[in-house]
Amino acid sequence: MVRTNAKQRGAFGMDGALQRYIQTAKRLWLLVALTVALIAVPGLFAAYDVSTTTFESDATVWVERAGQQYQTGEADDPNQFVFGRMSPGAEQAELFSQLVQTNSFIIEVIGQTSLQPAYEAAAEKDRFRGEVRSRFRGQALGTNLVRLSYQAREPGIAAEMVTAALAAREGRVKNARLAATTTATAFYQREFEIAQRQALVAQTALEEFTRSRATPLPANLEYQQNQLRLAVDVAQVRLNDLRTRLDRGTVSTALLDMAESVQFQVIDRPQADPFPTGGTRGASLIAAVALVGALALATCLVVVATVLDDRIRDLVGLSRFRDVEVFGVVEKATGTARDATAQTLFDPSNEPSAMRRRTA
Amino acid sequence: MSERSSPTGLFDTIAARINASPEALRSLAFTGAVTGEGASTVALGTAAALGDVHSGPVLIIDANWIDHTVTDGAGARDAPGLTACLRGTVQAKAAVIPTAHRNVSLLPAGVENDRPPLGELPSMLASLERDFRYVVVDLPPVLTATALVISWNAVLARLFLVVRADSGRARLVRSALAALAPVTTPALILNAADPQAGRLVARA
Repeated sequence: MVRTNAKQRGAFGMDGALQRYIQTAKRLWLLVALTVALIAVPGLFAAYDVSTTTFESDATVWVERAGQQYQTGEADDPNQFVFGRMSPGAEQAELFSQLVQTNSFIIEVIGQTSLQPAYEAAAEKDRFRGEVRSRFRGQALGTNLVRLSYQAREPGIAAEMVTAALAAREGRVKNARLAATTTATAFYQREFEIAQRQALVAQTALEEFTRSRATPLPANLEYQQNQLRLAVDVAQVRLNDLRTRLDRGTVSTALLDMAESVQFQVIDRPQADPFPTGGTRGASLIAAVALVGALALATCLVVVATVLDDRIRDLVGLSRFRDVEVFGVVEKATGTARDATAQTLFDPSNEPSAMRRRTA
Repeated sequence: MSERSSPTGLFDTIAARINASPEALRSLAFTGAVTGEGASTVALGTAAALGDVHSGPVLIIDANWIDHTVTDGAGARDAPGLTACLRGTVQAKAAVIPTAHRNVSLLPAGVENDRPPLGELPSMLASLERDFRYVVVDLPPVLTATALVISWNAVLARLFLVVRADSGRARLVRSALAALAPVTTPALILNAADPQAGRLVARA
């Protein structure tokens, strides 16, 4: 009698399928709301907590190409090509990110701040360092600008940490330069001493030769004397050359120090704000993840419940019984159909039934 | 007055289809896969609607000994009914009682502890069909009383399996159809369907 064909099922299927999911969501609204609440509410609280307990401080630094000793690649390092094409800003940001990965740098930074007692008292120092490490952030703002930031949970700490990180970096740069200069100076100094001894030996030999021979000298002795003078001159030239190199090394160190101040200028010093700042991004991320996660889980719940629900809701639901005739549909009544129908047939206020008369 | 302003108006379409059927659908039974599908309600409503449509005498037989709501609704729990008729202690015609509807009568279940034998069922039904234009039987659920439903089916013109929308489980309907499959395939009636969904189907 009533049969749903493929066209009907198709046309009804689109709305019907959506309707099924909506009905499931309505039926399970409490569970859906509970799921959303259990995931989204703690997430939102966490986001709020992050936004109100994050104290960020940052320093903005103008950088130019770093000295050779701070380039990460060796001559045959394939990464050198990559770094060679990086802007100074990106290079310094990357450099800072790498420095932060080292325990010694983190310990040095902590040692210059008020976190030192807490670090000393910490049972899990690795975890403490990891926590500190994760709160540092080096970010290239442009080709020559770098922002170094730290997010603390207490006011004042962030500015201390950024200041300490800048100081630690500067100390490391100076130490590296000093080490390089000291090595060169030591080498040239040793060479200079050798040359000095050689010059002295040559000079002594010449004087000895001159003193022991009466003038005028025969041609062969004069040639020998000239050879000795030449040796003295060569030794002097070598000595002068090494002296020049030593002087140049000292000047070079001073020049590099001057250059460094140009290469790494802290434009904006870190400020210790008394109110929470910088937590908006993290809080937004946490809130977004919590909300999306809650919605995704609620959606999954509704989808799974709908798929697993084998209740028959309409004619389309009956159409799954192939080769079975669907004779008719009784629409849902506003009241209780059974009571209303029974009232029609058995209500004593209607025509009094013989049955009642008989059973009375 | 709209077609569905009365409670039985919900069943007019089914009654009209039964009335207009080319087959001689004079004895009909309604059952569900399990209780709660609304088979008794559909049986009552269809009987009342048939009484309206055809204006001929219609008999409702409450054969649902498990959940005799029709008999209870009529206040005929203590009246002699189907059980007594099948035992042969009472004539079927004598046990039939009228209802408030002028064309509809009721043969109550006749509540007893022991199930009656069904041997007299064919002759009893044949006798009732002579006096009534339609005989509508309310049967217990298929999955609860499969043997009883199959026994009744043997003497009936048509068996209807009522499925309640939003609560009828496809798995249970499939089991009920499988239980009846060796002897018959009942026609399905979707009960308490959302009118909105019905209109969507009609529009499609």
